[in-house]
Amino acid sequence: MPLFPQARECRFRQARRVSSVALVVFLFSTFSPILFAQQEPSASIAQTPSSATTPYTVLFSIPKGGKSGVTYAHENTPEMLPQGPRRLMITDDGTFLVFDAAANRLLRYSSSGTFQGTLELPATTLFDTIIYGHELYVVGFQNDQWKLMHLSMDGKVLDANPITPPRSSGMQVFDTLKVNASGDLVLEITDSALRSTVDVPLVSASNVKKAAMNAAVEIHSKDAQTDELNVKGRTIDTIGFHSRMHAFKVFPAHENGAFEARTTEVTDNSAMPVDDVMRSYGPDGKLRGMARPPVAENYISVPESVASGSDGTLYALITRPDGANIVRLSLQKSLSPVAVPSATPATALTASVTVDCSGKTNPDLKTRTRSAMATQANAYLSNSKSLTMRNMDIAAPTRCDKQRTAPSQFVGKKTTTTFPSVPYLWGGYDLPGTFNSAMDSDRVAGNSGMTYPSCFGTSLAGVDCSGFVSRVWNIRQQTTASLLNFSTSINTFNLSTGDILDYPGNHVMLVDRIDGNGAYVWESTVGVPAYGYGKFDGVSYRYYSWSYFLGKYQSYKYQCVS
Amino acid sequence: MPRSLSIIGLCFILLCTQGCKDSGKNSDVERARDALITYFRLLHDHQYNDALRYHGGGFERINNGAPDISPDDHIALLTYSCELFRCLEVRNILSQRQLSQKEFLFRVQFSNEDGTLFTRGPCCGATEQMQPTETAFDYHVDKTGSGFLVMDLPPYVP
Repeated sequence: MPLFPQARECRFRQARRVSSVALVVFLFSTFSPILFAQQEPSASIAQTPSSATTPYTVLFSIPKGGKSGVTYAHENTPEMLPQGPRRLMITDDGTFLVFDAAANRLLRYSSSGTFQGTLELPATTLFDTIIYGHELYVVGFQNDQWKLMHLSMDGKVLDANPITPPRSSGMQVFDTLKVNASGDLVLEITDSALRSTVDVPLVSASNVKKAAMNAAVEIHSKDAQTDELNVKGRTIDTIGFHSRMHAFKVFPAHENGAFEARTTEVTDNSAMPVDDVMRSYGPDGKLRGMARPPVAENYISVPESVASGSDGTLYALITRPDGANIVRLSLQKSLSPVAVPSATPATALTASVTVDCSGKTNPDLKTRTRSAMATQANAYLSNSKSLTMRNMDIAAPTRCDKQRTAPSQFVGKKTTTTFPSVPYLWGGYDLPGTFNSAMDSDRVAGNSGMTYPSCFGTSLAGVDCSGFVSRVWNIRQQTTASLLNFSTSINTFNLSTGDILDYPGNHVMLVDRIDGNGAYVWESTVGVPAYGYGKFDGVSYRYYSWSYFLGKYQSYKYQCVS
Repeated sequence: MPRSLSIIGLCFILLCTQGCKDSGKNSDVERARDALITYFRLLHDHQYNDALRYHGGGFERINNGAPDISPDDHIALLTYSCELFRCLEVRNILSQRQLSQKEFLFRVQFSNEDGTLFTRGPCCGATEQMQPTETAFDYHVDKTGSGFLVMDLPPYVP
């Protein structure tokens, strides 16, 4: 999930080939003025690039809650994943649009912060929204289908079409809406069968009014830690990275040819493992300045928190406990690194202790290969089981089922149905095989709510996040906290197959692989926006940008991984 | 004067009798309550041998998470249970109810190791709506021939 709304990823770690791309003139300048005030952005990047001493200036604040404020779905407890606004967008007239995802709506503010109303979005579940050309595009679940809804800026649905990803034997999970290298609007999905992301074409650039191609930009990898940015064959910038684990993205250009690029770099095992820098280039290709988006300051993570105005000014949405701030980023000629990769080997992050991995000292410390871990994780994903109505039981009379919230994928089913994977069960620790056997024995599948401890593994079957990792590591059932007893802290840029990103007391994910932009993970979770289901609760495979993990998750490996 | 003393004495005897009656009625609840508090204190202090006397929650569930432990090795299973569950000390008992002659229900709060109130929120990407934050938990205690047994396992956080 790129951080920037219209970002397209041009290069990942160690990519050697030259990625030739063409920037698209994106029609922010032609957005409909129907409802929005004709106000210009209040800042110009030309005013402050070199003299800026503060990283940003607060333009205005947005309250929390109510008609004009941002919505936080849940907060105020230490063990939760709060949800808030998902994306910041800016129209050419300087109107700020905040995708208030938790409330299924867009909030509109003038450039001076005056609230201009809301736009309610028509779907039971909204995944993402983006401005593309003159209009809004929304991906939402409506009438049992995921659809791309095309809306005018005043909220009128112009058309709505089902989204159809390429056929796959795996689960397909939605990542983000974005504009690709050709200027087309695409939906990035993660395909568990491919263990990679795929772009599903939604709208061709040729169908968008006034879309035009801009100057070609090339990113050339000079060596493992140096990239060159070329425009029309001329090198306009050379960027040195501290680690090989980095990504370089270029955003659609403005009409005058100015454009922005974003570099992310995995650094170390600190609370902020990624250095994240926006770079602004003028129409002449000269670097106008750089800014570091204050992503780590967010009270609640915003997947797409940075946007640019029509003049190239960069803005960010920063969430706060009492609301949110819209800030203008100050461009500077140079930035000092926030974190440099440690030269210390990953294993030296904790005291060097010889671990007996024979299983004799501790049955949970037995040698486990990374390939065995991947095989086990994929066994969950490739599982397929026909579930009866009893298995899916929504209203069961027993004490154990009393508190049960049926997994989302069961809702509305009226007959025996085949489902992939293994469903989420709070407290669950089932392997695919034991889950299937339990279903044959008429037990009940999954519970997305909290389960009475006495009911785990008895009347219900499934797996939760830490139970899934425990099974993949082939150890006794552990929790997000107790997994650390069998783990060694590692550098984030050393994460490899079978390692974990853990947020004790909250959630844990199993890493497949990483790149400069984020991590591919397996996880047992709830509310996954998967093709074919409004939401899916169970083991899935997804791609997360590094911003999702900032300040929360830490990287670990199993002590007896080989 | 003697008559007054007689009346006072009679009142005293009546009050005492009533008090003794109430005390008799509540004694099982109090003993169930004591068993509950003691059980969690012993688990918290890793005194699994002693805790076993109050454990009524069965071992199947615990054994499910550690199938390598013999189902008959109750000490090992109880020890492992405190890896999986949060074996915290009771902070408050918010309510107590006698469900039947031999069943009691308590609503319990626990303390974290740092003395703060134990809170369990949504996990694994769930929302507050799906997995509401909890600070109090229901515990059943049964009266048996061998004493009072805590029928539910300690709180679980994935």
